[in-house]
Amino acid sequence: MSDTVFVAKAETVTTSAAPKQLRLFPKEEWPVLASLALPLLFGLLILRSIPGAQTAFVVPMLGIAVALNVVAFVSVFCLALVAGSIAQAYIMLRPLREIRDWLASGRASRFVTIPRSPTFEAGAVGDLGREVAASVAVFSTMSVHNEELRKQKSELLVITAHQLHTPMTEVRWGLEELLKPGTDAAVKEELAKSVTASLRRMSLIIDNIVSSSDIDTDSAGYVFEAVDLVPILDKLIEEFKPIALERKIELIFQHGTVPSVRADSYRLSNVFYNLLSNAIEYTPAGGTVTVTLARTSGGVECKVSDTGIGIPEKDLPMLFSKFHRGEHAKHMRPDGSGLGLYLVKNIITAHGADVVVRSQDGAGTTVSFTLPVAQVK
Amino acid sequence: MALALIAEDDHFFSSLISLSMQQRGFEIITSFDGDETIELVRSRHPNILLLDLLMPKKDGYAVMEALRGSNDTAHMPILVTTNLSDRDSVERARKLGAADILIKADSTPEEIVKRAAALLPK
Repeated sequence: MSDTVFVAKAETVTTSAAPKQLRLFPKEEWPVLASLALPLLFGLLILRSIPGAQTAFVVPMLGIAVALNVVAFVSVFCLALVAGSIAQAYIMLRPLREIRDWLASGRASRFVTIPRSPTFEAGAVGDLGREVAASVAVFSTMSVHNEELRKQKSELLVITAHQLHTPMTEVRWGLEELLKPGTDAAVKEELAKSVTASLRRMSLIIDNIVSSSDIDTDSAGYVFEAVDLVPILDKLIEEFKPIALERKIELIFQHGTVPSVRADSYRLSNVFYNLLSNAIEYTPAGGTVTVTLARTSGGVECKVSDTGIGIPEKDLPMLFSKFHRGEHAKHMRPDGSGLGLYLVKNIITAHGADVVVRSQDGAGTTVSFTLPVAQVK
Repeated sequence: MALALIAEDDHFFSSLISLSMQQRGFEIITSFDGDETIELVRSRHPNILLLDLLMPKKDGYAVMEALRGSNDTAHMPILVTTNLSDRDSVERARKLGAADILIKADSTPEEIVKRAAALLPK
């Protein structure tokens, strides 16, 4: 839509115009004079035609006629003036009526969809109309955004409640089983591991929700220090081994000698937890999940790859959006929150790095990023 | 011995329910997604199905729809075990023919076994 440009032109004042010819009664005033003089003339003729009419009678009568004539003329003039003003006001207010009708039709849809705005002409009312239209557009965008946000928050609450219910129930069932007198020692150990893993999952769910608030999208609050990635990943791999074994997925950790990186170790641990959790979740039995650390010219490249279901091409642009869940992911894991990759991206971005995703539909996904090497003091 | 199919994508829940049911004399088969559940019901004809609602590939509702639409499986008792406790989910499961519904967070494996035993044809 092109902007309309209004140019205010200054009026030209001509001083060299010939002086107007002075007239006693300009042409425009003849109808007024005629309307006053003609009734008088007719009155005089009528009075003169009355036989025996005396001058003493004719003169006052004429005076009364003139007075009545003037009153009638002024009344008609005022009435015309009032009628004209009303008509003019009605015409001037037409854009305001159009704005009113337009606002009413927008309100019907709570301004989620706005009908096409009327065309406003130049002038104060037109300016007002344009201003109202622009404000309504802003308001509409905000209300659509708020509605979307409200829905997302409500969905997040339902999903989170469900996500927390599952590990909570696991903890409860696991502890009850542990407390049974006849439980075998090996089973007890497995149960204790499962309970610990469930508690860890609960903790991550809570972390994900807290971190998904917009406050956490920059690096404020991060504690950057020299972090050795190998022990962090060793611990996580150990944690994921039972579930990988259960799902018949091979879990591999490959690394040479890598230097420490500049990172927030707690948040980075969450990144790897999210990536490993996704990789295992979306890889069918018989598949492989590989974590690789490699020294590159830019720092330490961290890579998590799987031989899983992959990401359809159409889902790639939305991959890091908050709450977005790809078609395959929904199919495979109906109760995901769509927060994992959003947080991975936020945390890695706060570390000054980019997250690169390579995926082939049905053939696996690789997520990688390169962290800077920590400066040796 | 009654044959029970436990359709549950959470391996931990699946193994604990299986253990409790085996202790009460049930023979157990397990499935971890909707498609596998329908396949096992049709091939193994279990006496009862313990069905989770949120599962990969096909959810529990889709499984019930498929089973209720076929003469062989239309009257098989289904015990829904889920953590979806909202009224709509429970109502929907009932309408699709769940004989009983248990919220996992409010139950124990023993309670699930008891309710499953009560649903078996006498």
